[in-house]
Amino acid sequence: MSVTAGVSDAIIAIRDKLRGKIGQTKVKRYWPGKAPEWADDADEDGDIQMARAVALDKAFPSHEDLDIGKRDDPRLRRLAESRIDNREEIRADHRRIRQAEIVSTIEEENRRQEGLDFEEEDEDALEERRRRIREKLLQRQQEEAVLLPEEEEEEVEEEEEEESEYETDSEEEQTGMAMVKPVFVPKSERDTVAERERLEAEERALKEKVKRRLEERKVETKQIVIEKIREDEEIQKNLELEGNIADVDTDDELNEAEEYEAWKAREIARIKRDREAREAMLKEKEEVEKVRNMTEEERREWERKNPKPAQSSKQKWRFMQKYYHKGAFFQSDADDLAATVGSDNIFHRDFSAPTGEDKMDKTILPKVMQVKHFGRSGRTKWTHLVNEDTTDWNNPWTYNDPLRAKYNAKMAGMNAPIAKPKGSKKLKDWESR
Amino acid sequence: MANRTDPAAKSIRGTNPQNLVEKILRSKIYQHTYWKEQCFGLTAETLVDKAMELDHLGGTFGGNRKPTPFMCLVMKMLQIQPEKDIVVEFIKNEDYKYVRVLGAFYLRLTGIDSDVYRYLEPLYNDYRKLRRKSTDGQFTLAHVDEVIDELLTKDYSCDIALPRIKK
Repeated sequence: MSVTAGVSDAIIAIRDKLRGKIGQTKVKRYWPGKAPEWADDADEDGDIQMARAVALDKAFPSHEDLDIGKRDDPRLRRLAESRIDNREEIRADHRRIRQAEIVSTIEEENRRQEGLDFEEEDEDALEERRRRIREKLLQRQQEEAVLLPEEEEEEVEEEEEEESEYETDSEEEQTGMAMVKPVFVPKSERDTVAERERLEAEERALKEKVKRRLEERKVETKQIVIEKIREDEEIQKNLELEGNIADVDTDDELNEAEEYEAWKAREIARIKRDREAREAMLKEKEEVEKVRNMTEEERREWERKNPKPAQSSKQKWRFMQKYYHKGAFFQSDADDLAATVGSDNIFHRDFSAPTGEDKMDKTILPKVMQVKHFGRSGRTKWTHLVNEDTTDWNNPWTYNDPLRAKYNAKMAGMNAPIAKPKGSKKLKDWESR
Repeated sequence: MANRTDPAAKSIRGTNPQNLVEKILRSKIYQHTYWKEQCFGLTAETLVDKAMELDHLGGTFGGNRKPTPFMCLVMKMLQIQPEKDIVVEFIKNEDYKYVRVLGAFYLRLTGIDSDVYRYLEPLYNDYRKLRRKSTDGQFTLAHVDEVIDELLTKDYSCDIALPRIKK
């Protein structure tokens, strides 16, 4: 397009035709706000339909419905013209129809008033309605009275014209627009009546709802008040529970002698306790010293006489029983003075008893299954040292026989049995220092 | 601001002096009304007045673990860190037993072993009655020497873990 910017499109079309580009669709650029090319040709009277029909004719010249077209043309033309001319009158017609509806309601009201279907319980509402209807009637009569003289004047002048126009108008309307034929609807089937009744029912329902809501709110507020009162009472009770300060008498003047006695008792108990603790410590230290300085034999005798606190009979563990450590914390003795919590009974339990898996006898399992954590990804295949020992006992330098025993005796470190460590002198002196 | 220790205060046993009180109890104290109302901007002198108003001692009580005013004042002392002389004065005074106990408590928490023993042992001779609030909110009777005994021998008193000292 840039090349042919200054050249008119007609020339371009001729050129294309000469070149043989007939039938190719050219996409024209779109500018917002600018009417497209095909719109420029159409006349802009305001008759959009006419213009469209003209454009359609141009684009698709129809040779088939010429006959039908001739017959419809006057109709179309009349339609188009009627559109412009009769707009206001049609609107007045619409209005007139609506007003007709209201008139029918008034008749309904009158009928009701006579008391045929008297279902109203509210007499006040009924009176209101009667009043309103009377007012309306009066208003209408006044309007009519005002209109009548005017109409009479106008009628005389333009009666004929109006009538003629009216007639022609109605004729045209009948032929131009499609109107519904007025059918008589009996009172029981009239929609307007039903609508009005529905509206009234809604109003009533609304009123009832409002009343019910008020009542509910009353009930709610009462409940809230009750709760508040209960809360207050509880707070009061708790405050009282906290204990009267006057409960405990801390008056020191009362009974000095008694006080003194009590205090003395306590002091003595304390002093005794301190003394005993000190003595116990001293005794222990002495014992430790004595035992340390004994020789082996005396030690054995001593131990026999004062056996260590009888060890809770050690239970024999099952085959492949899992070891469970009972934990290093919270082990303080119940007698410990400094501790605030004594040890729980759970710490005195026997932790070497079998539990869970251990209860099953693992010796009956096939050898493959006699491993720890069988089946888990962290299981170990190896059992214990002696089991996994791969020394070849057939070798002359590994199997046990007297020759081997003599050789072992000569080897360093295999001579004397391992003696108990004596302990360093420095450490011993440290204690006494 | 209100809950930070004096930046000039020294650390006790290697930690912020307020850390001597456990975190839970500390938060409970900070949220208590007594702390918020009375203990704001207390100095050593005004602290004395508040201490004289004490009439019971104890740790926490109630389902909520509410702290007692005694606890709040201990906390305040930890926060402002009064001089040792002041604390000794607290202990030496004969008129107000609760002030005495307050001073003793503070010393037990912050003092060195020799000081603790030196100043607290004479208090063994004081056999006046004290009101003690237990965990369920009821008051019980206690004596000064009993309380001191507790301070010196037990690990735990008034819901605060006492630092270890030699026997």
